[in-house]
Amino acid sequence: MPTQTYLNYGKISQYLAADRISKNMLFQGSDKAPNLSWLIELVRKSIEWKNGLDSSSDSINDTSLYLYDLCGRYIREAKVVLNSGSTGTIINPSTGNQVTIATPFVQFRVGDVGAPMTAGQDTLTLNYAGIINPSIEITLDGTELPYADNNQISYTATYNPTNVQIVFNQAVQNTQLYMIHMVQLVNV
Amino acid sequence: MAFTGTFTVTQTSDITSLVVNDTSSYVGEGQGTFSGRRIYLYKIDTATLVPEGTATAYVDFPFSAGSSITITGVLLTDYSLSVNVVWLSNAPQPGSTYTATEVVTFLNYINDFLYGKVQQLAASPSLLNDTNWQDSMQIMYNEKENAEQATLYDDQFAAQSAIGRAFYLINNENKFF
Repeated sequence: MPTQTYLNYGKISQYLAADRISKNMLFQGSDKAPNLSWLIELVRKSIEWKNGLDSSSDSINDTSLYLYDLCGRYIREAKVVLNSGSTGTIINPSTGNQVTIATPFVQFRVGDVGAPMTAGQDTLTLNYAGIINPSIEITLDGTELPYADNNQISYTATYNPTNVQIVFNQAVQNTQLYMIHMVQLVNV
Repeated sequence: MAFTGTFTVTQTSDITSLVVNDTSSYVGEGQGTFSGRRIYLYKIDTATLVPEGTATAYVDFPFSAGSSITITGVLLTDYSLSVNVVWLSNAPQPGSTYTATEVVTFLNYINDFLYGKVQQLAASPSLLNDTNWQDSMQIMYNEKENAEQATLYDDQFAAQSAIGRAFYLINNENKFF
């Protein structure tokens, strides 16, 4: 592993350790290794100095391994921090799972073969998991429908973990064109 | 365009040496209008450092040397120096500045000592159980940081004082480590 990688781990671990020490001192009044952050900084800066002066020195490998050892439990987090600049990740706050975002789109004309609703029905269940509540938008013949407005045709939606149930306040009729947009979190 | 003398100081792998780089622009006043450059390395007692055998209080930095000069064999210990470069103009112009000064602190001997201790620690991690050893390391490290911080504020005296305190530990290593 290049010396610079050890130094990067050291820089991040130093702050992670300082953060842990601060929290423990505040909430517990003590920490098992109150000097760890300082020690990582001391060793890291000493290696930086030596590496800048004579990068071919044999001793740098030994001291770098010692720095890596000091970073210990923070290495995994440091690796995540280092990689965060290249690709980001999205976390579903409800589940903690890593997800991507999809935008499913459903379009149908009532009465057409294969349409999910037939004339006279008022309920539509869309079997998509992880639809963001609220994200559904529905247009009828190009006009956006309001949500739960009984003065005109409108809809309500119930977001379930594995599907979304849409209920219209009027039964759908033949030749009506419905377009439904939504946003979905898909587990990676 | 008025002339403003500027320079930087760097080091090589030889910790007794320093390199002065002339970063001035000679567009307004060409190098031919100068008779030479001089470098003064002032210690806090206003004495100057020069390589052994130099008869003057300054280091000559002729234009024939190019834009940088390596001064060897002057840093035999750590110093905070006030580095002053003087441009000797044959035709001084109003508004031009022919002298520049920077506080520069050299800490390679302290760093070398600290690195040696880190090597010992890497070989014997149980040294951390020696509270005297750890306390002394913290003091050493703090003094090095003090010297660096003081330099940022151009406080040569504070930087040199921190170096002196660190060297007290180095010179009495048997008592503190």
